[in-house]
Amino acid sequence: MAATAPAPARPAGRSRTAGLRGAVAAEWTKLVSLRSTWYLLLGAAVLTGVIASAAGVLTHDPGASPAGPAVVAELNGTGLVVAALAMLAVTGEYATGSATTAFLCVPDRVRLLAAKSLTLGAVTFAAGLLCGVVGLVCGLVTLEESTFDTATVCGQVLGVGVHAALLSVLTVGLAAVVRRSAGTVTALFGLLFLLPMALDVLPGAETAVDLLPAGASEALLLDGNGSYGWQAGLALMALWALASLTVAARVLRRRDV
Amino acid sequence: MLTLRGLTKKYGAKTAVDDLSLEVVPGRITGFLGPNGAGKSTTMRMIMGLDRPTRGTALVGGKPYAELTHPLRVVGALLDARAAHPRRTAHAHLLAMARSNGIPARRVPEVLDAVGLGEVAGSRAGSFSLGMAQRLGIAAALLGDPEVLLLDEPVNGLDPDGVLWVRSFLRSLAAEGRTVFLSSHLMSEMELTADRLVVIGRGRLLADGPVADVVAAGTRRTVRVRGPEHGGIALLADRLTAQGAEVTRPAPDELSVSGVPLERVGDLAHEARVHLYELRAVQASLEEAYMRLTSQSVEYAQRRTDETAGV
Repeated sequence: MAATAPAPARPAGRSRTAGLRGAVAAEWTKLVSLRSTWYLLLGAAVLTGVIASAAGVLTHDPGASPAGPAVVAELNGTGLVVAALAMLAVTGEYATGSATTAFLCVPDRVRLLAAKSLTLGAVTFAAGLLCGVVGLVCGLVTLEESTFDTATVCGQVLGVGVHAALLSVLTVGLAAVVRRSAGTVTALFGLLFLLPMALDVLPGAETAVDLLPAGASEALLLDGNGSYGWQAGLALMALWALASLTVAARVLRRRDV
Repeated sequence: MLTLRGLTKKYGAKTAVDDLSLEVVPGRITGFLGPNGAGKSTTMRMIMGLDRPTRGTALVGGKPYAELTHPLRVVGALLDARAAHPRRTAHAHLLAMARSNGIPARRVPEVLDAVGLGEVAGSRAGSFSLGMAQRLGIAAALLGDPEVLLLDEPVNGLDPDGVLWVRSFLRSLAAEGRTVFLSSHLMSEMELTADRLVVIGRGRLLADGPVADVVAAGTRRTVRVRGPEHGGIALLADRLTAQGAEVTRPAPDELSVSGVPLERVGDLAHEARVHLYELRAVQASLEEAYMRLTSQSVEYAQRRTDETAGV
């Protein structure tokens, strides 16, 4: 039957990357073709400006970094607005029935999840950097006194970008499991705010609290949270994002669309 | 080419699709017929890799859908008319789909023109009427110029114009040698559109074959006899009954005969010197065949339940 044998298939690795490239391009197209994406990014920038300006006005410290207000904004709102973009990219598809289309185009569940994570990770990283710069400008304008150290400022702005991206990827995984916006918001608030508060009242749980995403975020953005430095914070946030994606991949593979 | 082997889907104790095996061949329109809730959509979703079969396999061109790198180039599907994000334009919706499968962007205006949506390419999918949404769904299915097309109730909610358009469009696609698999719960639609029929009821395969065969299998052939002499008709009825035919007499001058071929009825009438005005085979409709097929499946399922309860 040599005559009818199909042409040799391309190496699995290559075809997988070929599929992933297309899937990423599709996610990008989907993201930029929705007006809500641009509204959310504008909202994140405006919110950053407001929070950073308030933080700048309220800070009276000659050693303050002008990018400090940007970090405060990221921890207190910007990060969540940017993560909302990641959430809607997933839950918006389930809510409108277009999730079926997404899975028909990219039937490999892991590839689809990877494409969403890569695209949203990149977009939210850029959005975070932009918000970091907005916060920096607001800090420079509103701080009555500050010390501009290039390395510190660059690190802080970069930190805002990285944090926004990792929080968003964590949210992608969570949203893929929960599927609905309301449920995802609840789960995210539980993980970021309620769980640390609940654990805080337990004796001896301080270490556990520090290891949660909120503690890791603080360490990453504020150069340490009392227990460990920004490097460990970065690694922990990356681990949380990876854990979220791993759970999502398992659930998506087992579950019917 | 679609190949289903022992495809089964269970939701808890309920079996939606039960050991379904069939082949859908190229160059023809295969109708997938069954009452609402018979398992048509579940079967299609399993073929398209959306739902996981409890048992069995569904292959598209020899491979499971999920293993295709660029599935849209192999099989196009219309499963749900509202499969586009309502706040995305028709063009953007199709462009994202095209990019995901490495399909050149120029295909997007091509398929939009093919389904008559070229003028509204820049409008949001949410502003479309059901008929326009169905057309957008068909455009999406055609995007990758696939060999296999799978459409779940494509004429649902269309006006007569749209129904006619879909019908002739599918005909032309099958004529190009493509495999067209089309579900419907409307047998009249199937009679006009399909070449082959697959009938399911309660998730089970009831019939699979050319439309004429399915009709023949589902109904008994009857012969209608009419003549001016009531006595002669009565005599013929007696002779036919003696030959083992089943005879009913809806009117004094009319007989409905089943169980013997038309030629035999003619011979008997000739031998008995009965004067006839009409002797013809009655064409059973697909609708009758379908009702018969599906009612049997309902009875069968009922009996099975009783048996299980009795054990």
